[in-house]
Amino acid sequence: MFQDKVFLTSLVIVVVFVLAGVIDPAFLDRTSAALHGAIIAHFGWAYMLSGFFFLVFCLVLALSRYGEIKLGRDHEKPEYTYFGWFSMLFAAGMGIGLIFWGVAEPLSHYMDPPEFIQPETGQAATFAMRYSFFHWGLHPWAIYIVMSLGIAYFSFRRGMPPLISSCFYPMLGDRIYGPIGHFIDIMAVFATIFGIATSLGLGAIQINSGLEHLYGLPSSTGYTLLIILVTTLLFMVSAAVGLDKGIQTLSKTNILLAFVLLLFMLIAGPTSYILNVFTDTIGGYVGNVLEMSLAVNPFLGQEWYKNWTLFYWAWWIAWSPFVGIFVARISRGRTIREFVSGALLVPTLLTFVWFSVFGGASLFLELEQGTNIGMAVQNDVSTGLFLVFDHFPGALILSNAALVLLIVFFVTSADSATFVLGIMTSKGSPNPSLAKKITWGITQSSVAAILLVSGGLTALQRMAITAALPFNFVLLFMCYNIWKALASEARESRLRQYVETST
Amino acid sequence: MLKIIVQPVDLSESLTDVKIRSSFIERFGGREIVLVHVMNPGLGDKDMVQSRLAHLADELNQVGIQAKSVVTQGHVASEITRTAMELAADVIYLPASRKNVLVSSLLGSTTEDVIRLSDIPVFIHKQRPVLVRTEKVHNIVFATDFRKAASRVWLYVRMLGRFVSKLTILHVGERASDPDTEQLRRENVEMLLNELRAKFTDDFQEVALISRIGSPAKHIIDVVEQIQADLVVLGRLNEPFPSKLLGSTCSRVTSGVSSSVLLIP
Repeated sequence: MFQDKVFLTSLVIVVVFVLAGVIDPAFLDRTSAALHGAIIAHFGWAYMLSGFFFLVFCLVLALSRYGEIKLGRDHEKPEYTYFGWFSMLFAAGMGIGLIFWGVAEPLSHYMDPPEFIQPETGQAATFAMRYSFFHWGLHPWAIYIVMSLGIAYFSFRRGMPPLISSCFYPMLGDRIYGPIGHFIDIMAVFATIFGIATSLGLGAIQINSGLEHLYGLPSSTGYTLLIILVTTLLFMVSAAVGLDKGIQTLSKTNILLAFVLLLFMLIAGPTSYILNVFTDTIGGYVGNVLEMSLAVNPFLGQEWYKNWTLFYWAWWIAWSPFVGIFVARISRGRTIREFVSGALLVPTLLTFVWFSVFGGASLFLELEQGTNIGMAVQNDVSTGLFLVFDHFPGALILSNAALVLLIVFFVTSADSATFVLGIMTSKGSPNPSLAKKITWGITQSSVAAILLVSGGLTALQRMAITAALPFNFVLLFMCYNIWKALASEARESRLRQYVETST
Repeated sequence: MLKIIVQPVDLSESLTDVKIRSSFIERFGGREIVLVHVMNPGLGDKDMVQSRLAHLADELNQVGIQAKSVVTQGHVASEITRTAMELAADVIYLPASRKNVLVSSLLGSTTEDVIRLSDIPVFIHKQRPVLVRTEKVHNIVFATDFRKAASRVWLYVRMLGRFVSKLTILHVGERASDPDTEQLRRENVEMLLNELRAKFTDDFQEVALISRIGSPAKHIIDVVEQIQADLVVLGRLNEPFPSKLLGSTCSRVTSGVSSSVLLIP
């Protein structure tokens, strides 16, 4: 197990960073803050341009003649049904984040918009919904699609291991098996482990908030650690069972539960208001997507964009190796057109509905009912969802359902991450050993727990964002490699036929 | 094959320059050299130019090189190529200036235009072979992508075998997108290169094979400089818009190598 260079090096790097966070959290905090600040300040434009480019690239690919090419051999068919596929896409890509931010993000933007918008006004509410759609809409999925498309194409159609380094074969050739290839894969492991550890930490905090809100369980580090321990055990069981049974069953269950919750909120809540919010925001989003895609507002104060949009873009890029490999794994047998349109449109639409229902309901409470929920969310974003439920019939059931949803999303994300880390550190083996999955499962939970105790969670969140900058370039080069490989499909196919007939 | 040779002159050359160049190109089996001068419309004294050009042609005839002269007016590159076509010339000989580093590296725009417009072979004479010292071509590189443009070059390469001892056949390919296909591609390239070697073995004393991956222009220049080749022979392709935007392989090779270049359209 320890002979794998990527596995060993990644493990050592993770341990070193965790130790740094434990021994001298102030140093880690200072370093990561400086790096993060510099990157966001100086490369914001690069993130925005890249994000827009990835979206255009996906659309061009889907509409081009390459759209007919399968992510697999020509005779292969998709392994999962549409429902299973969309459920897993949604669970891995957004899941826990949506539960956390579904209420909190629109309210946060409403309370604290950019300088040129008056807070707590109708204009601020419109802006809040539109940017919530924007941050969770087409662009994140375009980033994920580039990564997963590259991995799926090179592994399932070209017969290479499902590693990020494999996508660089047209450019690097056999050097992908050397230090450059290892470096790319180690960066991917690094971004994944810190990205997921941070999410697990945040998820555990929100579960603790929910338990406190519902049952008066004190919101303390000790209880949060206990939550991490229990959920770790749960996802280890899921990981041990395997992808087909574990993650798929959990994802399907979760999506059903989320759908029931969503439907209830839509019917029991201000239905017309929510549908108006949905329609209006879709219109605003579609009409302004180009402007928003490239908006960094150098003349009107950039702070808001740095804190939100650029943070999200870096965050999605940092998450892309994890989501990319997982999504690639579940998308075998689909054509590029089907893959791009499915992964781009369906989860985006679901996200829009989610934000309209939860964000719309919370803005209704704030604007029309004067519940002052926005202020409470500003104080503690993790409580937003439960505070909204308090104003609905069956609040206790709703909050419990949300808690279950959170826990299951937590388990699904951690399970998927364990699986992906196993693949990345097993030379791309599609079925990583249980020992490796357990090692990474324990590692990511330990990282989350240790950082929660030492207070270095924000620092590591920043480190994950820092790792996104090189990954941004990895993604851009990946686009080049994908296009080059697709363009050479016909020529190489003729070569294979020629060699076959001549022999 | 290279019987009728068009040699543009701008009349800044000395008689010795014209004689040396003419005797050099005559070595490749030339029968007649046509000195062409293109005047700017409405500028200069046509009679005087014709008389100077006729004098140059006479001087060449006196040393045993059959020559004649033509004076035309208009866009220089267009007139050179038009005249060459009218005369059914076999090649246009263009000496690249070495007087100015910048001009030499970028090449005169006339040279680039002639390369672009010409439908007959163009020989661009650069630093190698050095006329005064050797007047001989020892080592040529034939760059091939195994496509139609390259196959049109075969006859010219064969003809050059009568005057040159060593041939290096260079293939610069594009890496395949996965290791298995790449292995097939390499084997196929090796087979095609060996077929070409067999084709030219009787014409040259020595035939070497080189295969590389990457930018064709970059590798052609690299190999030519590495083996100090005197001449590189290329088939000219009409490349599509994006690659042309960055400069076609032919124009990049032509401006980048120190050796002479023979472009076959």
